[in-house]
Amino acid sequence: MDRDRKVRLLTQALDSVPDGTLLERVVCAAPDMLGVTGIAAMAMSGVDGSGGVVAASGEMTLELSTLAFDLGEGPCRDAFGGDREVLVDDLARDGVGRWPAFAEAALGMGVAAVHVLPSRLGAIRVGGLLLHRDTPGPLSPQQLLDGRVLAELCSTLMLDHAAGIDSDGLVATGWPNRAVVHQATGMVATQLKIPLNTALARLRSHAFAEERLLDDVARDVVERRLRLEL
Amino acid sequence: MTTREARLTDTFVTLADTLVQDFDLTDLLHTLVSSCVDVLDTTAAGILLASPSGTMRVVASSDERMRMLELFELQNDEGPCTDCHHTGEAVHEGDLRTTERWPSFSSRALEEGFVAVDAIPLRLRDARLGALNLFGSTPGGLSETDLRVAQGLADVASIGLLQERAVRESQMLAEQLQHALNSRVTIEQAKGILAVQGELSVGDAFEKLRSHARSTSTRASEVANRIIDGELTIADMRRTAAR
Repeated sequence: MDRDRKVRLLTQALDSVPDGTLLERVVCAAPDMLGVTGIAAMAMSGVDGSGGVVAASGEMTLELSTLAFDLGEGPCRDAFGGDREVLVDDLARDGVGRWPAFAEAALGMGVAAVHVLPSRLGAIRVGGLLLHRDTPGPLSPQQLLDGRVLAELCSTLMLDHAAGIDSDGLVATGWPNRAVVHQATGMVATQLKIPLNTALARLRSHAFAEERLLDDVARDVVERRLRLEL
Repeated sequence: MTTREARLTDTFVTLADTLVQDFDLTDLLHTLVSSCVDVLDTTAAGILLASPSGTMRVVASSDERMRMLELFELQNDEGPCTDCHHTGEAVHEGDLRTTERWPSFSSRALEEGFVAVDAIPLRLRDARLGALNLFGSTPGGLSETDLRVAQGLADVASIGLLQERAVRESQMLAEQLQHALNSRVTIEQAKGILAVQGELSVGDAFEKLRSHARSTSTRASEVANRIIDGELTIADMRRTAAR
């Protein structure tokens, strides 16, 4: 069952990488699990400070993903800006024409394939994962599916971080799946005159501090039993 | 032709129209679930899609009240939709009062006045996309004929999902589903914004959003984005409606 995939990935990560924050451990364990050379987790600005690379599986990956994030062109820009996956199975063949500066730098590092999986919650751009390989080729359907689940998991951890939640324990409040959470996000944003991503962080930190489920807090907000303050 | 046959014909013609012209996915899915309620022996209907991580999320409901949306959503733990999605086969329960299946879900459904439930798979060739969930307030569930009609409507929904023109590049099925799921989240966020601006329930906020979309020939997801960007407020929408 698909939900078990998340648990399996998380357990593998915790078992194979003993040190670091939960996000770092997941990102470091993930390349082996997915059959890629390196993985980086990136947050959009506003979610985690000024935005950028939050965790990378190695030095070269950090360099590559920082370059991807900072350059005015590249698969990250297209993926996050266009809200779609950008899957470049063969960077030498398909990347040079699209992003000359990025492709040249990345190929120089030995990168042959780049896959960017963004994570969104409606109008909130959370961030996403950059995966890279040193040989060209597509991700298999299984790898793509695992990658998407991983992107959601890492984005959840980044949401926790943005809400000031210590992620060294469990994934505190999970990826918001219920309509009521999104409705509450819109309501809190309007009530407090803050952006949606800040409103979501506010809801999550309240739930965590009160040791309540995010869904329950959201329900209270939507049914007007609870009004959050700044 | 009987009245029901006439209504059914109208429904399929309307749906076919939406597919050949530029269309709004939210509107299509809403028309589908409304049709289920109009034409079948069903009190409430919803369409759920599976996200990459396997969670099933509501993308359309004939009843936008929170408690109804939750009745669809809580099936992620147990329920006819979960079973339907796993097996790829339709799941039927004619009487929730006497069944031992899905204890938590059943008691909650009964609380809401539903006695029978059907879950019809949304599928396209080998891909399992989600489910069409139908609730009845009298025991028995749908007849064989109604079930075939329901499967036909579910199949139209599947085609509609793939045809969504707002997806700029034709991509894999998974990405188009992700787009549909994300559009719905945007609409939920916009519902919250409108609810505060207009001192409305979220259900009423959805109706306002949808009717504004229809009267201005805009996609619901586009209206939602404008609400979120602050370009469109409830006051603006009320002014437009008053004209």
